Amino acid sequence: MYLGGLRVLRDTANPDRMAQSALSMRELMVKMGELDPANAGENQSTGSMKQEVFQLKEGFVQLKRNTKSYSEAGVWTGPFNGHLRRFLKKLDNFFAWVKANSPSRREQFQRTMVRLDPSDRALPKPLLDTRYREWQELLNFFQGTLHHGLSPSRDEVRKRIGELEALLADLLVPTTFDDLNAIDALLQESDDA
Amino acid sequence: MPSPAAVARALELIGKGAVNHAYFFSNLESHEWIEPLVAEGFFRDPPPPRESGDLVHYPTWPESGYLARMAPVAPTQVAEVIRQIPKTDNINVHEDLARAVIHLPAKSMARWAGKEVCWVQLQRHIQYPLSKALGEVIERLVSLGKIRAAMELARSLLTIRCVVDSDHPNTVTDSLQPGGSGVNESDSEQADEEDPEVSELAASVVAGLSSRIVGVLSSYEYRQFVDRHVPVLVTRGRIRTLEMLCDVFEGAIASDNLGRYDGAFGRPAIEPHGQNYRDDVSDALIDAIRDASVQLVDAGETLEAVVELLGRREPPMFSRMILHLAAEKHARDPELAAELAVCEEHFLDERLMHEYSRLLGLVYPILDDDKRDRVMKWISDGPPFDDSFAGDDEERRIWTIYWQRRRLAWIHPHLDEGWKEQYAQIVDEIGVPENPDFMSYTTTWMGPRSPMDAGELGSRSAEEIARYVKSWQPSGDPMSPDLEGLTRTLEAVVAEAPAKFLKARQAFLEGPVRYVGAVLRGLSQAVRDDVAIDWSTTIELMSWLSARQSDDSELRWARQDCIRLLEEGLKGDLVDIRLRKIVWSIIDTIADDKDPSPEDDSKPASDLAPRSINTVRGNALHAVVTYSLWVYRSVMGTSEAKLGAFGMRMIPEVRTRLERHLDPAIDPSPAIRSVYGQWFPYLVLLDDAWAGQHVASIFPDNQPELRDAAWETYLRFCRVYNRPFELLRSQYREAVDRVDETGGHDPSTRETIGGFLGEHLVILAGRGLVAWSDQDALLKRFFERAKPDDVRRAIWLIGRDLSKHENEVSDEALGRFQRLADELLGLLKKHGRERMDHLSRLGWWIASGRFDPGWTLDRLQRLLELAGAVEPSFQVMDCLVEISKSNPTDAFKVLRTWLNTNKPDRSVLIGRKKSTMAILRAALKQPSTQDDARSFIHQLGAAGHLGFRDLLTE
Repeated sequence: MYLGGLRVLRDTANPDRMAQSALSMRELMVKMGELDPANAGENQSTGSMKQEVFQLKEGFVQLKRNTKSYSEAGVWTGPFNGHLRRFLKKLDNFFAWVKANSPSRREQFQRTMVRLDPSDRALPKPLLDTRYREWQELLNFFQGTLHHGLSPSRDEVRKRIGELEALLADLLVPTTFDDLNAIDALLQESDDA
Repeated sequence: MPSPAAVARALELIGKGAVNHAYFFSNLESHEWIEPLVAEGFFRDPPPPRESGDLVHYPTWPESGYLARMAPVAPTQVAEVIRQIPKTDNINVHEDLARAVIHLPAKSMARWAGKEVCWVQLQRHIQYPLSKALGEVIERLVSLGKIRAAMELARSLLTIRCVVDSDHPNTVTDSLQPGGSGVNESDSEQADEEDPEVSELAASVVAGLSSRIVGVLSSYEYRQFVDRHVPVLVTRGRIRTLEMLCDVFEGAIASDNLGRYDGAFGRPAIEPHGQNYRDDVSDALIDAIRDASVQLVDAGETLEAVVELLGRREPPMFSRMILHLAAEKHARDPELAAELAVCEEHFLDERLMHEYSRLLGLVYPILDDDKRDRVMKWISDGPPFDDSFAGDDEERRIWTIYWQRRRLAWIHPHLDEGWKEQYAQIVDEIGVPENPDFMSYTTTWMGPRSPMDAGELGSRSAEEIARYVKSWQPSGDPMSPDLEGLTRTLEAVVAEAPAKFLKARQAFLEGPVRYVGAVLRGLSQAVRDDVAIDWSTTIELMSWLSARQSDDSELRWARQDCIRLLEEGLKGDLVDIRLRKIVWSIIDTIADDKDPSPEDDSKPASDLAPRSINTVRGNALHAVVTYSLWVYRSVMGTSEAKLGAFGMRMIPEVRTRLERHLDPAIDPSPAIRSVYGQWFPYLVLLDDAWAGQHVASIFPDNQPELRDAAWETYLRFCRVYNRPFELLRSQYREAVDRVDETGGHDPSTRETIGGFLGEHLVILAGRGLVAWSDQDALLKRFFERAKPDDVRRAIWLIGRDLSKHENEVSDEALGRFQRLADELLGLLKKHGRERMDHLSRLGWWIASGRFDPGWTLDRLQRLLELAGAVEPSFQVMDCLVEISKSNPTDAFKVLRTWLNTNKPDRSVLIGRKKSTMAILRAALKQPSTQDDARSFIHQLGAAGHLGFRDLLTE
């Protein structure tokens, strides 16, 4: 995808090269998110949303049939009994399932970042937020370009691809000890100042 | 203050990865960064605990570590930052903050401590070093006069409660709750309501469980905490500290809704005492209350004030504490001590006995006559009898003198002449009381005990000893000498001087047979100690014993001793071959013994081999083979044997006996059948043709229990011999067919039958007797079907032998193992690592150092790619280092594959840091791998392994 995106950008004979290159980069970014099994839906051990909602509905029908707290006239009244208690527990489980299996885009991004970080640790929130903003800006740019909502120049597209490369390089080809040397120098400068 | 540009640069660098972030905060030594970092949103996001299976991981938070370091230099600034940190359950963050707050202003620290109390109350466990850090916070609060805050934090850490033992899972009670997993959900409304019967049942189940006292600190840490910090709290918190400790103790008792824990009985003595066998958190708390009480009195509080405080509490433990304190400090307020001692309620309450008796003993000499008379009257009146006492007058009298004896003993040295005489009369009648200050007393002893020690017994003549043991009878009292003790002593004495006893054997034959057994065991010991014995006389003794007929268990034991001694003699060729006939008659007679019985054989089959040597007939069957080999060795010296003519025809008595027990109608015992399996290679040695003809009856297909008894014992006990394998090939085939079934295991080593089978097969593979491509595919089928642990064991056994370079292994065998390794790698490729990850143990072979470096690197690379791991990591690493000297490029590639493919192994490899560095250093010197090596070192750094940094600048 990445190489295809670069090649098509070079093809000056292709009038739609910006959009097609942007499409490749957008797809690359989306696929990156799927590196985490949770984002790819691999952890959905209890089935699909449709199934879960169906089971919840079945439980609700059973509740109405069995509990004394629901009248045939469709009125809820009476004590807070065991049937109701069990259904509310099911409801609780359902929302927990939704949370676990339908992560927000931000959560997906954070999971991917942790997965790609060799230390297996998460960056703190302010840094993750910054990274997410950068990521989202790039995604918006490529999305807008591929849908022809934006009409960037070739240089602009190349610059954005460069930013994406830098972001990925930090994760995939880290230069850790160069960074640590830079941190040492920065702290030293700060102390000296 | 750092410039905005510096802050922006810092954010850019630390945003690249978690390691950069941690490094930055760990090396930041200026408080001036606090403000800009707060402005950027740091210090507000402590990492939460991460659950992984049953484990919880608490990540460190570099930001809180930085705050802890900055607190001494910028306390106000740090206090404000800490105030805004959200709640977290990460104990590492709590520890950092605890280390920080001790440098903060008193008010800030007290505010933090208040919040920490709420958090501690929700925790199940708090461990070192957090417990230590919180203890230091308490001490600091005390020193700054924030006593209440210190007290509340201490209270939260010291609170203990009674819980049902966690060994009994909550599911017991959960399953009994309406709507719980153990109750079927019913559609009827009835099922919803609380069922009193179910609740009652749940309570009764719970009542059957054990309970214990727990706190957030472990017993050890609780003890450390009270020893170190409570005295400090008492110094400034004084009586309030004691109040707090008493509250905690009362709360613990209140939490015991099952009423199983009682402070009065849970602790035999309030003072340090050998009877205080328990050492849990409640013990430490009792000690803390006791020591705090004493400390307060020593520091000037009146005894009366402390006694009054303790006296407001109901549980009997506090009354005991009062009596203990009064005894310890009676000189401070003799009047109060006397008042407590001369109190009929205390005198009669047996729960207070230990502390009360001590107090009374101490103050009795200083009591005035009136008070003494009152005490003596209570004793004279005797125990209060209620209507439930059902004894007659004599029983009432006996009860009374026992009761009086105990109480008189408390003050015995101070009694007047009249009472002294009365006490002496009681002692004459029922003896001196033992431990009269305890209602019950725990003691231990080592048994069994002999009425006479070995020295004394051995100094007598054998005839005297025989008479003595014959007449001696145990008293039957607990902890007194017994028959077993005497028998063991006799055995030791016989081992020292066997000749003396053999000479006087007749004297023992006239006594109980247990002592004949002891003599035989003593003789066995003498043989093992290389002391010569007269075998002719010994065998005469055995012959007498074997001829005795009885179902007596003593005789059964003695017969086993007889057979064991005989085997000692036969194995060592100590017995003259001319005694063959009488020797055989002993074995032959005992081989008909009824032990093992059918009941014995109905027990689980995993212990057949031990059972065979712990039964009379089993031992005798073992002796049959031992006898055969004894004859074999003696005949081997003759010209006839040199012609190779030995066989069952030379020992027809043995053939008859062995064939007899192979008939299931005569001997259906699996334990006896296991003897044939254990000795099968020797049966082949004795008579190849006979063994071949009897394979089907020794391992009968139509009787799986007997077949498995012989087969599993064969696999477990026999080394691998070629000829027995040829005779048993079809048995091996069938065993491979069954290898994935649940099989037995060795009870001592837990090794499985499948594991032993694998061991046999890989050894045979090395010898070239089985190959992957054989028609019956023994090897292939074994590795495809066997359980992972069995395969691991088989691979490890060969790998271990290959790794010992002093072992000679032929080139042909090495070639066979290489081919087998390739087949196994093929198997791994075919089935994938999910099913075959246990083949990662092939590292044992590949990295054994026996093979060509090129082959080794190639197969290691392949194994890592296929399995994602390799075992044993240390040995593989050593092998790689060695090869990297001649082939640094490929060794580096293998290392990179290894570290990139397997995260868990990474920590192990870092344990071999020097080796890793050697391989990386060698790769950095090669132009072809230099860039890759540099990149890889950075990657290791990103994973948190910063120790390789210097390699880049070397």
